[in-house]
Amino acid sequence: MAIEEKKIILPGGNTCPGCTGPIVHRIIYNTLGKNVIQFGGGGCGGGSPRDVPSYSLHHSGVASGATGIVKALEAQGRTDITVVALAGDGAASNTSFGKLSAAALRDDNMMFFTCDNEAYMNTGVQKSDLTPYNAWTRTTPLGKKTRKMDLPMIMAYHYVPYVATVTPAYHADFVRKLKRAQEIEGFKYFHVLQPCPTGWRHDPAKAIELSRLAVQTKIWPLYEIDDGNFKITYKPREFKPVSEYLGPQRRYSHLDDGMVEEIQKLQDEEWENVLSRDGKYIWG
Amino acid sequence: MSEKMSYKDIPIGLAVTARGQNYTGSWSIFRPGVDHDKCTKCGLCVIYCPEAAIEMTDSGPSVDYNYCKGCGICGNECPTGAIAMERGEA
Amino acid sequence: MGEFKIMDGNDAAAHGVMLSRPDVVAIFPITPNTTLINGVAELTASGKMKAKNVTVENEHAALSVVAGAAAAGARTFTASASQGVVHMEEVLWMIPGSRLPLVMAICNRSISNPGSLMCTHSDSLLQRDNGWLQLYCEDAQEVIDTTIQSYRIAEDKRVLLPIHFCLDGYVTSACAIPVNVPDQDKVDEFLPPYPHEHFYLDPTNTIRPEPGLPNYRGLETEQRYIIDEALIGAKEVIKEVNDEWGEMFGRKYGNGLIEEYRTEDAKGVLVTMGSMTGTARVVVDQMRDEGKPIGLVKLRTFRPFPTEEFKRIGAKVDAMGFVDRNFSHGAASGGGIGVVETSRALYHLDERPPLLGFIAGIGGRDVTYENFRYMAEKVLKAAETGKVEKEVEWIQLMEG
Repeated sequence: MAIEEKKIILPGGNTCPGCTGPIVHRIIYNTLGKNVIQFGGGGCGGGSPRDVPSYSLHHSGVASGATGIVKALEAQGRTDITVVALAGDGAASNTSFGKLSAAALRDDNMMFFTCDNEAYMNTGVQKSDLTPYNAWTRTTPLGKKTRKMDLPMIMAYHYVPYVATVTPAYHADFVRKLKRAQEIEGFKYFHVLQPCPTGWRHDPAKAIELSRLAVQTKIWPLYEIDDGNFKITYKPREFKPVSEYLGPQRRYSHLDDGMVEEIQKLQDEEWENVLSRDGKYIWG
Repeated sequence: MSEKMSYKDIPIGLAVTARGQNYTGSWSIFRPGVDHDKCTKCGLCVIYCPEAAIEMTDSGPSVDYNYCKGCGICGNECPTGAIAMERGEA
Repeated sequence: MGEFKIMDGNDAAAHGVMLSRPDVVAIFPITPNTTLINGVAELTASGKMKAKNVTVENEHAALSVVAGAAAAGARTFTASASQGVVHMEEVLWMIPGSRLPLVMAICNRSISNPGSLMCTHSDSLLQRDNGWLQLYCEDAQEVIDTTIQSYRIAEDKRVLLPIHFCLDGYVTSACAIPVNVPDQDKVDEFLPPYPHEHFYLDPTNTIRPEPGLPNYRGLETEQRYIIDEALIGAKEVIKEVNDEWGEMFGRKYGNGLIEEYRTEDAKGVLVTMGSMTGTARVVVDQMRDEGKPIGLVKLRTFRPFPTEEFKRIGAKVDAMGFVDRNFSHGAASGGGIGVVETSRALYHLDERPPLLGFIAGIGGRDVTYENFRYMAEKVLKAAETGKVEKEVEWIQLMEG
């Protein structure tokens, strides 16, 4: 990504120091250009001011409102404008889940981003269904006993033309996927892993480093599903152990060695799953 | 609300383009300092600053301390160690 | 001038929407509005209505879709009833604050539990606090006229607030009568395109509603006052639109806010909303033939409440009775929502008339000639004696 010439995401927002939300939004808007309309805030990470027209109706209707904008633009013939729907993980997995599903099945022409910071962060770190297994949150103080929903694969089975997992540390990968999605007409789904220093309890300076470690420890596989064709977009020769990712985050400080092993095993299994789909047409 | 504002001044539907001046620089404890000898102008600090507080100039990155919150991502990501976080003034 | 077609309330609403040329419609079925949205779907599929039709997954989504579309400058439509209206309650509150002039049909139906598929006005009256305008239609003819008028009222620059037009579930929505369908070119003359300059999402116009901005933080009082002002100002707009419709299409509905029937020399009046008005008119005529000085007020606009009209009528009659097809459990002095609002409107009159509250028609129970006669007799008795025997009466209650 070229260094931005014009600021689209502006300073002076109320996001926490080290929030990766503005970084993600900056990557999105610097790639998509100025002809965009945003709907939804993208969780608390969307709190920075921006030079983009936007409207929001609370997190319970993110995909629907975006659909409305898409249909209005179609009716008015303003077809060169990209509609960007930004949802937090709480919206995407819980409150707007049904809306997301229906909008995907209608194949409404928008780019939908799940800005996943892995809990309801704006209200002070309560669990969502995208909170990972064994993570501390205020509503799961002993660690969450249920697994993280595999939302990208669920969206893939809504038969949408494009699904991608991205994270800000791999910004070239993110930019390429954005550009590919912009060529497609229909419902494009992006799932962004967005580290949150406040909710994950880590040093803010390490936010991007953790985003990188998530990929390097199999926690967050980077892939894209282009019209049903599954492709992993980052395959290191060797993976780092999950403990390197879990260590810096105090939301995992209650884990003992047994639990870390359990998580390593889960991640190994999930990676094998992802690997088995690589290069295949998954809708066949 | 400082000036005598009237309800008639509020834009209809609250559709605003104006932005308030929220100088978040007051939040920071640590501030980035750039060693221009080590800097290669790769631009990663510009890309990764959450506040868009770093701009690339001909002489290297320039930090807007009015907005820098002192998160330290720039220092952590700089590949040559050209940025170091120093304790700012109170 | 206009063609006559046999139509029920739902058909009339669908046709009215088509004549109003919306850009985006969002539809979800719920008895009794199902044939309305089926009609809308057929009209868009056949190309007679050029709107983009979004088949949504629930009513909350329906309203979110039309809100997003309106924010992007489109004219929209959606419809619901009963549980659906309550399901979209969260979004209903957001629309007046953003000043998006949506038009929505409510086919009045009871809210569970206990519920019914039949008409009670609770679902629309529940919205009386949030800033939506409300108009109540008596029959299919009024429905088609009110549908088109609603766009004109809501989109007027003095109003810019969303509007519900309500039709009684089944009684109006499914009863077919000959309806004079306005001509498209005359409707085009009456209804200009949606003037969306005040709120228009576009890349050249980087607006965002930002209640939390430092300059605008904590200003809900002022924003609510503005909506209140606009709602009160809407009374003039409703009257003007009613007059203009009368000139262009030959039909007027009272003064737009209320319609008075034989109130000039009435000693007592009954106030009704919706389809029961038709029955009431027959009984008023019968009783007038018997020399009884009863009159009728049809309340067409519930929000904004026509306070001035009620004060004027309250000052000249000797008793008033409000027929509420709804209930407000635990309300002050009991009764339905209508009688509670009316008592507020009449409170500061120098001479207040006795005010009786009647609850009838709940769950779609037919409000019959006998019921109206009973209520009218009670009102005339109160007019004579100056006293109210019972402040509220559930006149159709089965008491063994």
